[in-house]
Amino acid sequence: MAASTPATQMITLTTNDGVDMTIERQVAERSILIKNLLEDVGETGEAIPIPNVSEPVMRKVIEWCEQHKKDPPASNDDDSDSRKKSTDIDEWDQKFMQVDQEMLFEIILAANYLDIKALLDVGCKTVANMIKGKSPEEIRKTFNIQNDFTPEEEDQIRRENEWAEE
Amino acid sequence: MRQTRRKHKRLCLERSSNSRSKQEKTSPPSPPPAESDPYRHHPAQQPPPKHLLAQDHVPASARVFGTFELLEIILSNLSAWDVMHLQRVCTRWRDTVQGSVPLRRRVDEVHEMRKILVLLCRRADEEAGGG
Repeated sequence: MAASTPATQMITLTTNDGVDMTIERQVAERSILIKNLLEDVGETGEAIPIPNVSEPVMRKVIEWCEQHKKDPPASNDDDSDSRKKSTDIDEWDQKFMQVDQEMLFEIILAANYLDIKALLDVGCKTVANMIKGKSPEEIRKTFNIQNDFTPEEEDQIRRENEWAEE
Repeated sequence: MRQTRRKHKRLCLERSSNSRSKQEKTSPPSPPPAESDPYRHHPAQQPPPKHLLAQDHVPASARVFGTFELLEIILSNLSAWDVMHLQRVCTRWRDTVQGSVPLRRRVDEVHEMRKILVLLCRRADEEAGGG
């Protein structure tokens, strides 16, 4: 029977909305959190609960992990050179990140929680590209951010940056 | 002189507080009382998706920008010039730039460059004036 070929090991994740998702272990191990968990707990065959991520977001994250499952594992050293310029997003990732704003930020939160550094970087770069060149007012509008400076603080910042205004 | 400056400052303050109260006025009005609709207080038959309930409806962007490390990564992908200006978005963004060693260093570099440029321009002016 097929027992002679090493079958791809599958694991099951349970999202915070109670959905079980069965995926390849290699794919899941793009997440350092899951990788460490599997190493610590061993093969119990039980579903791993992912309490901070919902099914639609997990589906997107897994899609990214599938695409990048053969990438070399992320190195732990946090040298600044590894953080390339914001324009350097590969084509597949750029397309992958073409989602609505809420989903984009949900992916960033999930990547942070699951400890998938490369995905976190791509997400943050995508947001940086949305911010680039925009005025503070435009950014507040885009992301629905409240301007919470007191008039005095605003006056002070304005004076400090006056020279840099056009 | 001092008085006029104070007056000017007061005007600025008034103007900003005016614009603030205007902003409050334009914010969406709270929903009208629902007395006319007796079913309004009953939850909809289909509960909202669990993943929305679990996050208390805080938009994901607010949760990302509210996390120092995440906002720091996002801002570190931008130019020093952008970072300097983005301190004006809100207090959290300013505090993140000021609280992050690498971001603050980059903003300080822009200010240093500016000082050097001003000095060079002044010297050039003096030379032109003297010669």
